[in-house]
Amino acid sequence: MSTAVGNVKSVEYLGSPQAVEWWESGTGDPPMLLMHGGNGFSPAPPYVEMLARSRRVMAAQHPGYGDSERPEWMDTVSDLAHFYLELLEHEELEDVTLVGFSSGGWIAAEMAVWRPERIGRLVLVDAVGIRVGGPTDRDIFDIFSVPREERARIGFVDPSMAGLAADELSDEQLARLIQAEQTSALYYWEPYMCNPKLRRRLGAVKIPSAVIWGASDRMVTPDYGRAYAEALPGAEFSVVDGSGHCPYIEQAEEFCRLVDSFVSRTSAS
Amino acid sequence: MRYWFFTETAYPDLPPADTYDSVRVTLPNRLLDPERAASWWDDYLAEWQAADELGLDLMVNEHHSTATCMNAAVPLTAAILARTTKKARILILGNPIANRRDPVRVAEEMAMLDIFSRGRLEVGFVRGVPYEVAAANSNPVGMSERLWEAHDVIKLAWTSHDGPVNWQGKHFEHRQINIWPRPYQQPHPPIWVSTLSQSGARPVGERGYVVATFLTGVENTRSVFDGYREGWSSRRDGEVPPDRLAYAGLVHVGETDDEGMAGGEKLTWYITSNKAPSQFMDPPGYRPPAARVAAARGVMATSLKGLTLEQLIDRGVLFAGSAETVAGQIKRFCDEVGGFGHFLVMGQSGHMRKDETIASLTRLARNVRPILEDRLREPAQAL
Repeated sequence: MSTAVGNVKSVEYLGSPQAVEWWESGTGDPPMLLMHGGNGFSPAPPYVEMLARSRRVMAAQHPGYGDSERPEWMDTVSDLAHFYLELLEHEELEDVTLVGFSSGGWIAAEMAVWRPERIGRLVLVDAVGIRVGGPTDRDIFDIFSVPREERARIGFVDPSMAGLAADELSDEQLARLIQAEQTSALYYWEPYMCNPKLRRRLGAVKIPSAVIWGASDRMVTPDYGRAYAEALPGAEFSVVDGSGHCPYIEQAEEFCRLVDSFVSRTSAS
Repeated sequence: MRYWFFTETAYPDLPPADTYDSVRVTLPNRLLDPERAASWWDDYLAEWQAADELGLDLMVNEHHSTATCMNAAVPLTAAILARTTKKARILILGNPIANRRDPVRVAEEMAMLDIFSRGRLEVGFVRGVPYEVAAANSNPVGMSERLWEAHDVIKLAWTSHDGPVNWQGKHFEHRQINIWPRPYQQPHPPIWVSTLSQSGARPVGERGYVVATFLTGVENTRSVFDGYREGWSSRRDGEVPPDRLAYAGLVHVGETDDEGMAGGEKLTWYITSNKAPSQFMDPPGYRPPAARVAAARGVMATSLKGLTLEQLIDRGVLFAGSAETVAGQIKRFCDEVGGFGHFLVMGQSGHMRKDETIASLTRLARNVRPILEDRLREPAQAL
C-alpha cells in the first residue's frame, strides 16, 4: 500500500533500517531540505516546484507522519532533530538550506544548535519552538482547543487555502491528516510547542539565518517571530503581507523571492 | 450480586444549554454559586450515607472542569465516606492514573483511605474520558500505556515493605518508593479497571481484576465481557467468576411504574446535559485514527442522546419502574450479557433531590434486591 506523496525508502538509523517517506525534485546546489509543520508534507502547493526550479529540493515526512515509520521510543523533538542530523549524514548532504515551517522550524533550530556542520543556512517560517512570554501568556495558539475548521480560520487570511476541510480531502488524505494530528500531539503536547531552553541556546548559532513571518499569523504572531530573529545572531526578519501562518501557501511568490534572495546572498558562489 | 450506589455529583443549576458551547472544559466557573454547590454536596454525602445504612455498597468517581461532576478529587470524597459510613465497601472508580503526574502519591492516597476505612476500600483505575485530557493537560497519545505503567508503580508501592524500591520507567520515575502508611488490606485492596471496549478489557482480564463498563447496553457490554474473558483465559483455566464483571446503569425504582419512569426521566439529565464539542470529545490519539476519520466523515459513534426512555430501557442503559419491573429489567439484561456480579447504580443525576434518590435506593435495597436474589439463583445462571 502506498498513499505516499514521495517514495518510501529505507534509511539506516542507529543501526536499524527505518522506512522514510522521501520526496525530491530539481538539481543544483546548495541543496534544500523542507521540514514540514504539524499537518505533514505535501508537494502540491506551488511554492515547492518554484523552489525546485533552481536547486535540489528534498523533504521527508517526519517519523510518525505519512508513511514514515516511528520507532516506539521516538516521542520528542530532540528525537526528530537527531534523526534529521543523521539523515543529513546518511544522504551525504552538505551546505544544506534547512527550511522549517512551524514545528518543522523548531526541529531545524534544534539541529542548528546541536550539530550545524552540514547546515549552510536556516530559514524559519512562522516557526514555533521558543518560549517568549510569561506563564499566563499563550505564545502559541492552542490548536488542540479548537475544531479543525477553526484552525483553518486562525491560521489563514483565506481559510479556503488551508486544505483542512474534510469534504475536500480524499479518504487517504484525511487519514494522513488525522495520523499527522496524532503524531503532532505526541511530539508537541508538553511543553506546548516549545523547548524553554531553546531561545538561550539560539545565541550560539553561527550559520546565517532568515526568519520569515506571515503578517497576519494568529497562531504565532509576528512579535514572536521578531523575538525568534532577535535570539538568532545576525538573523534577517521579513514579514509577508496578506498571509497568516503559511506565507508559502498564501503568498508563494513573495515567499520564494525572499528565500531565493537569502540563499543567493549566503551562498559561496 | 452487589449493588454500588453512585452519583456523579453534578452542579445542575445551569443556564439554558443554548447559552454555552460546552458543559466541559470551557464552561466558566462563575456560573457555579458556591452556596448552592455546598448544598448539593450536603445532599450527595447524605445519599451515600443513606445507601450505607440500607446495606448497599458505594462508588465514587472523579471528573474535572465540568458541571456534570463536582468531584474533582475523589480521595477527598472517599475520605469523608470512610468516616461517615460503617459497613459499605467504598469503590473509587476511578483514579484517572493516565492523567495523574505521580502514581506514588495515588498509592499513598489509597493506602490512607484503606486505613481510614479499615479495609473497606476497592481501588479502580481509569484511563479517563476524552474531555479529561484538556482539563489535565495530559497527552492524549499513549494513555493506555501510561495507565498500565502507573498501575505497575502503584502496585509496587503497595506491595513493597522492606524499604525503598526503585522505578525508572518510560513515563514515571521514583527512586525511593516506600509509602507510609501501607494499605490495610493485604497484599492490597481489590483492583477494578473500567473500559468501554473489547480491546481495553483484555488486559484487565489477563490480570484478573474486576472490569466495569458504563451504560454500554447489551451488545457493547457483551463485547467488553468477551474481551475480559479472552484475557482471563490466556492466563488461567476456568470460567470467569461473575464477581469479576461489573455494569453501570441509570436506576430509579418508584412506588409505581409511572413514578419509576418519572425518576428515570430525571436521571437522563446525565445524557442530555453532556454537551461537548469535537475537539474535547475526540482529541488526537485518544481513539484509533480510523475512528477519527469516520467522525470527520460525519459517522457518529452511537449516541444515547435522542433516545426515548423506552429505548434506553430496551438497551439496558436505564432501569426504571416499580421494584418488580426494575428487577425484571435487571434480570433480563443480566441474561442478555451473560451475567455479572456487580451492578453500579447511578441513582442520582441532574436535579433529582435527596429524598427521591433515597426513596428509590430504599426500594432497591428492600424490594428489588430480594426478588433478584431469588431469581438470579436459578440453576441455569452463571451467577
